[in-house]
Amino acid sequence: MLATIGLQHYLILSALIFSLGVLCMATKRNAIGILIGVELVLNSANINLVGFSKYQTGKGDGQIFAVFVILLAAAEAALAIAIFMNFYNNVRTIDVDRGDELRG
Amino acid sequence: MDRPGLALIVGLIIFIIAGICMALVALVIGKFLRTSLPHPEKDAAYECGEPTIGNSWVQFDLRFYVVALVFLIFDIEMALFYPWAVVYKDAGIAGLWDMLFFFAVLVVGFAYLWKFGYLDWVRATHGQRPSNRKISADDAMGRAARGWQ
Amino acid sequence: MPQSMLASMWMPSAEELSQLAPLFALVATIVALLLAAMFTNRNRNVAASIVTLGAIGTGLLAWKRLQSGAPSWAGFDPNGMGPMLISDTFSQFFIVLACVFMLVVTAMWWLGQKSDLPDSEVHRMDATEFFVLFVGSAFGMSLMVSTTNLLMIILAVEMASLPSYGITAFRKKNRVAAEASMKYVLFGAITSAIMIYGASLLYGYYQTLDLATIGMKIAADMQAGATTGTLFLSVAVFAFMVGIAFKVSAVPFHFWCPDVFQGASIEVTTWLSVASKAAGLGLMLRVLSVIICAPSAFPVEAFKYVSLAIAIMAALTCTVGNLAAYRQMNLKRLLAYSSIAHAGYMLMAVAILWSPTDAGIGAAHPAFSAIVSYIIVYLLMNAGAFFVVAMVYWSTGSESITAMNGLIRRSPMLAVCMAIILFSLVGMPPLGGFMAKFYLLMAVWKGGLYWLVVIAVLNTLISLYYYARIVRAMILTDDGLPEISAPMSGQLIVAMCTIGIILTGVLLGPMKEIANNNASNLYAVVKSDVAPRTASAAGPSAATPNTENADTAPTIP
Repeated sequence: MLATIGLQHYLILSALIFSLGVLCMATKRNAIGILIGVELVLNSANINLVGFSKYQTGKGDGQIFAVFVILLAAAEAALAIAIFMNFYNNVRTIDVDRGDELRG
Repeated sequence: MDRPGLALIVGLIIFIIAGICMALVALVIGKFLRTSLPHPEKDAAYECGEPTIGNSWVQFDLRFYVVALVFLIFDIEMALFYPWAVVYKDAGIAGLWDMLFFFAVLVVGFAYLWKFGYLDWVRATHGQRPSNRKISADDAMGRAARGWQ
Repeated sequence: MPQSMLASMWMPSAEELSQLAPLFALVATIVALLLAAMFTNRNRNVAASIVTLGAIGTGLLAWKRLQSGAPSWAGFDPNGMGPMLISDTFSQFFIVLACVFMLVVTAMWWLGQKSDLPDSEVHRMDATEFFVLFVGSAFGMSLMVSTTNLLMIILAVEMASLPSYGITAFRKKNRVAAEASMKYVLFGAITSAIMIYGASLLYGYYQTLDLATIGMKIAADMQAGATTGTLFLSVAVFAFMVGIAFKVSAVPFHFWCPDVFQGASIEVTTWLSVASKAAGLGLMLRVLSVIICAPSAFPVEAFKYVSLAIAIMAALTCTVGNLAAYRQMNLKRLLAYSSIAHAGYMLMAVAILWSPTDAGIGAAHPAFSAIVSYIIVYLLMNAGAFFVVAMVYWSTGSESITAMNGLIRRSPMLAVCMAIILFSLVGMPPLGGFMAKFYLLMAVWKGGLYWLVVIAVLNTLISLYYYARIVRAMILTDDGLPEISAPMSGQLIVAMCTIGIILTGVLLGPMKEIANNNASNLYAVVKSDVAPRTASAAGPSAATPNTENADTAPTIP
């Protein structure tokens, strides 16, 4: 069992990272902490895609998908951090609980 | 359990134990051989041989963000070149034109950044010198930044 | 892989590329904006002119394809893995809609930057960046309605979302805008991450990125009576749908909507209120119909739970939207909740997509024409309503409902138009809003979801109260505010929207006919073009279920 790493190992790793990511998104109050959770979830999707692509389809489409997800994650992080900095300039914190002006 | 798996586990265990022993033995021998001469300087963080300036939990200059952002975008762009490079020989001249089109769009963005000074460390657009941005006097990064300007 | 095949993949023919002319025109607009900024030192009028030209050009290209009745095209299909991009009347229609709305928003920007409010300074300074992001989100929304490939869907949704986050944050010195954009970006990042995870599970389970193939495999599994992996599959589908529900702002993924609408500047709010929802609905219709229609004998019965789930979501969306709109004092926030409610009405028609119809094979499901005609009327109503709010805001600096007090004296023309628009939003006969809602609810009734129609009618009654509150402020309350100096061109646009609403009230029959033709072509793509090719490609990899499928599905060779 140990000598051969199979699809289920990829899936278990991916599910663990997904759970950690969701936990991180749900518990962190710092905006960057939430963004880290998002990145974890995206990377768990990447592990899924690469694993499925290697063991099931045998085609490259899953791996190309993973490259694009990396690209999306980078673009999203860049934009999100710009917006966090804008929030910081206005509120002097990036604690999401302090964003309480809009409600109702 | 199959044989290769068992061999692997035994090998791993021996490797881990040997690794821990190596570190422990070196530390224990050092403990007996060295002289003890405590000094507060020795506990300080090692920072390239320079004396440390203030706390490490300072706020970084926002210019690092812009540089990091530009680096990130063009770094990730390279990731998209890899699959193309793998099939480049098969794709032929058509593949080159495709990639040049993709690259041309990126170059327009790059030229835009360059033209409006987002790549300069000291950004001077709209006729305003950025060096008069507020840098607090006791901010280590601010001191460093002023030193570089 | 043979070299010739690869080369043809890399070099699409001119004919193939011409199918995507509207999308290329949007990209060219973005590049032209950046280049023009470099040569004119970010002149804002040049930027606005380029966007206007780009929107007109793109709209004409799409309109030409829509008019000529060009055959649907599903292209870039390497190795029969399914088309990456689709160009049919459905997608061209949505692109035309987006272009028309881009012109409206650009006109609003043009008028808005002349006012002396703090917002307009940002608009004057950073016009290039604003328009690049704005056209970028339009490009993403155009992509959203022209693909059935999981990878392209994800890319399109992100392409539409990321610039939207950016333009929401454009009022840089404004604390409310900063907060709204942060909530938007966090909520959007979380939902899109979960959507991508769902897509990765779908890819693993069905071993393809093509939705038509996935639909056929689902049908084959169901006919074979397979029950394994049901939990896995429902998790995957649910996770994938989260991202689309976020774009449509369906409950419980609607929390971003009121905050963003209140925080963003009014041009952005106007853009997001219609474009984001229309693109999301287009994508949802495309995804669901491709899954259902690709196999010609889809076990419709099996999907009654999915249908029920969407129906419940639609009912919740429109009830929550209408109830929350009750106590709003901010006009933009009120219209945000109103737009959530309208998204709920449109979702109701999505829920009947599974119901069998008396229309023949290859004809469009009534849900399509109902939603498409609703979107047209909704665009007119929202453009008009937001334009009135914008003009009141420019001259008073207030977005509160009290800024509307006595509008009938301060600007009779705007007040009358706004009253008509609001009554159309409620759904009062004989206005366009009533006819659109009537056709929509007729379709839902025929689809057999009677309780949903009852909920929709009750919601209409609830919504009467808060729309009438604005009308009361305009006509009955007058606290002596000064007259509104509304620009003539703005008044003209509001008047045109109002006339459009009145006309659609009369002419929705022919319009529905157009919408019907529109949607029927969507099926043509799915049935004739995609299905046979992907069926043969999927054959060897899924040996057992596919033999079942071939027996019961006569049109698949």
